[in-house]
Amino acid sequence: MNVIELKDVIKEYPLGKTSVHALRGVNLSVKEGDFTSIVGPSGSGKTTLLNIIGCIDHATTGVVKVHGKDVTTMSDYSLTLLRLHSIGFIFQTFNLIPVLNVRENVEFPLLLMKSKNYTKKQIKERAEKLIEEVGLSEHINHRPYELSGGQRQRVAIARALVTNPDIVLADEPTANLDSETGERILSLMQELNKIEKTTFIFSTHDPEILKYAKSITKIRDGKIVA
Amino acid sequence: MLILKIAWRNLLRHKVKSLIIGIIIFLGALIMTVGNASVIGAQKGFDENFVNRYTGHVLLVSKEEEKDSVLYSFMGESLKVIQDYPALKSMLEEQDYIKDFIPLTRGVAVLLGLEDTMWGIYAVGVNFEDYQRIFQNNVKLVEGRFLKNGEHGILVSTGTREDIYKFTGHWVLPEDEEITVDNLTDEALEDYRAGELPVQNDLVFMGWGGDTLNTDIRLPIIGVVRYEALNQVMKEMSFLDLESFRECFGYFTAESTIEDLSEEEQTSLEVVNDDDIFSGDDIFADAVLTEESYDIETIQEQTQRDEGAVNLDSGAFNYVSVKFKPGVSIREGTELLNQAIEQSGTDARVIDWKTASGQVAQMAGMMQGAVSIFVLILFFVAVIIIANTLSLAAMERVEELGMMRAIGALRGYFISHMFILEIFILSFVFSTIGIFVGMGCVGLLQLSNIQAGNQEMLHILFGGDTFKPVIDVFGLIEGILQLAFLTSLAMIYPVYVAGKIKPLDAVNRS
Ligand SMILES: Nc1ncnc2c1ncn2[C@@H]1O[C@H](COP(=O)(O)OP(=O)(O)OP(=O)(O)O)[C@@H](O)[C@H]1O
Ligand SMILES: [Mg+2]
Repeated sequence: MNVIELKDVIKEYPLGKTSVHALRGVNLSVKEGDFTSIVGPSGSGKTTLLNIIGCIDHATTGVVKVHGKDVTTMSDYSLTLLRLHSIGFIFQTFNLIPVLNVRENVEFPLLLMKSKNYTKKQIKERAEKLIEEVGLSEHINHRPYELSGGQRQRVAIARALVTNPDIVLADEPTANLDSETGERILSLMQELNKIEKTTFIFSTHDPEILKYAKSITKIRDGKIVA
Repeated sequence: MLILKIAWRNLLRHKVKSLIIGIIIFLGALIMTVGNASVIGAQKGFDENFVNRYTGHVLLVSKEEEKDSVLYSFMGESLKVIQDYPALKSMLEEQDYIKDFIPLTRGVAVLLGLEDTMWGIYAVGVNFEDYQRIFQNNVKLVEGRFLKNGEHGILVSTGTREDIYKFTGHWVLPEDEEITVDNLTDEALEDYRAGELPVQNDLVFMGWGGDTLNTDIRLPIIGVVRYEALNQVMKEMSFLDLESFRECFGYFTAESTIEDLSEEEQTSLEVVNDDDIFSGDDIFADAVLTEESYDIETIQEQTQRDEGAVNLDSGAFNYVSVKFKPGVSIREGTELLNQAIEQSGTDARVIDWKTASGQVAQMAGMMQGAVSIFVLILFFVAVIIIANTLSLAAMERVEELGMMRAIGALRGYFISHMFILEIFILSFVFSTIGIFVGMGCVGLLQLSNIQAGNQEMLHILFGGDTFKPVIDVFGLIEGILQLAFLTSLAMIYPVYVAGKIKPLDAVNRS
């Protein structure tokens, strides 16, 4: 079953009087439990594509389905809830909440989930479990500024996974890390993909990283090429 | 709880910004507390002083009198005379909600005979001893002595004395007094040192009024006086004894009415000394004037008469100041009085003190209003600074807030609440401190006993001679509401800015 389906997706950014064609008719489907990598040169549209899949940006035209549901017509409110419950994000710049420690950062999305009615204890246990999985139990009470880049990215991964999302999106998750740390992050993601059966989509232009991917989507000038 | 935690820690994290906004809010709360206390204190002081020491709660005038601001009228127009004051008096005496009352005459008396200048002074004709009793001994002696009941003469106020000096170069001095050098104005002192300060022991007046034929009358200066409270407001007001006032304004005097009374009526008057009755006057009993002009000898003769020889109530009065008993509001008292007037058919119309004082009371309101507007302007400046600082803070946190949106925080719920909470905490903490410090300042101000001195504006601003700010519950509640309102105002723009942050902003910056 496809968790993601894109049909003829076009994305144009207005730029002065003309517009930049970031995506020029993308057709793409991603299967459940996949671990796929989007590769392409700089400016080819990887980030744009991930943003549209993650429902934080809108396609100019075309159909985007997440879980079989067309998201192009959804309200901001519904999209927010969809992101909260079904999608996990790992940002290139880690992007943690500076005033919260590791545990609180990981708990954050669970606390936003009012409707699920997790008890405090459940939230705590779930967060601790993921922090352990990413190997940060010792740093559980540290604030982001007290962590290294790789550690921060691992917190971000734990936060992305804590809600048990169907899809985890990562835009160049290793770009700000040294290659050794990068590979460790990727193997961690790979492991979690196996354990949690979560679909991972990540972009990169580092060929070293590609070996972790189950499938590869190549993009060039806003079009899927293979 | 999560929002609270994040909001609180954000405030601590951005300490400098929080502190800047906090200090602005603190100052706002401080200024507001002190400002409100000052305005309330001034208003209270002004009202109390005015009512207790000057006007009473309400004034009664003749039904014929069309003006409302009877205490100060443009060009010194005179007031209509109350018809049959004794009837009004006995009616007022029956009202148990009335604490006290006093009938008066007032008008502008034109000063004659000094140089070529014509200069009017604001004069009140009253039984001075009664006046002092009712208005809390507000009149203080500067030189000479007070008027005794029944005595003829004038008590010149310091303001009037300075005016007379300014316009005529003469220094007013009570009879048998030496110049008190300390009381001289700077210019008068110069004249005095040069040996060129002419002294004036008596003054010649003529009443100034629309339809009356007035008499000129020479009066000895008995004393020079000032007012204990609101001197700067009242300092132009001088006192004449009732009968002299009536004569100089052409009103019927108590003495003249005796002529007109029948035998039984005469005996009903308390004391009548036949020798003192003015003989040969042409009296227009119901009109308010006598046509005669008196030569100085006659007047001087008069001033030497026995005291209390006539019942002054039988003469003309312009208005009656009425003080209600404690707990009787002006509205209640006015209603009751109106009923009593209607039932008794007496010639009286009720005017509350504020209306009666016209421009002066309004001027105080305006001054205090100006202070409020000044505080308000300060506040809007504060609002703009706070709103601006917070908006900048929101924009600096675009990536963080965008990330929150991207991973599922609702704009309307989470982001707005977080921001509102941040501002609320700041406002609450620093307003509370500001209000308490403000109360402390008010206490200090009360203790430091700041005097208005010679500044007329300050007297009106302070509502009296001393600056007496007052903290009261209503003032505090008003202040808290104002602060809440201003905090809400300051919130609108930053919350709007934060609300506009999109999930995409989480990545666009990177
Ligand atoms: N907000 C924007 N406004 C205008 N043009 C944009 C915007 N975002 C992206 N683009 C353009 O769209 C195209 C695709 O950009 P995108 O960021 O998706 O590429 P990318 O593959 O992620 O590149 P990189 O590897 O450098 O991250 C580029 O030409 C870029 O300049
Ligand atoms: Mg990119």
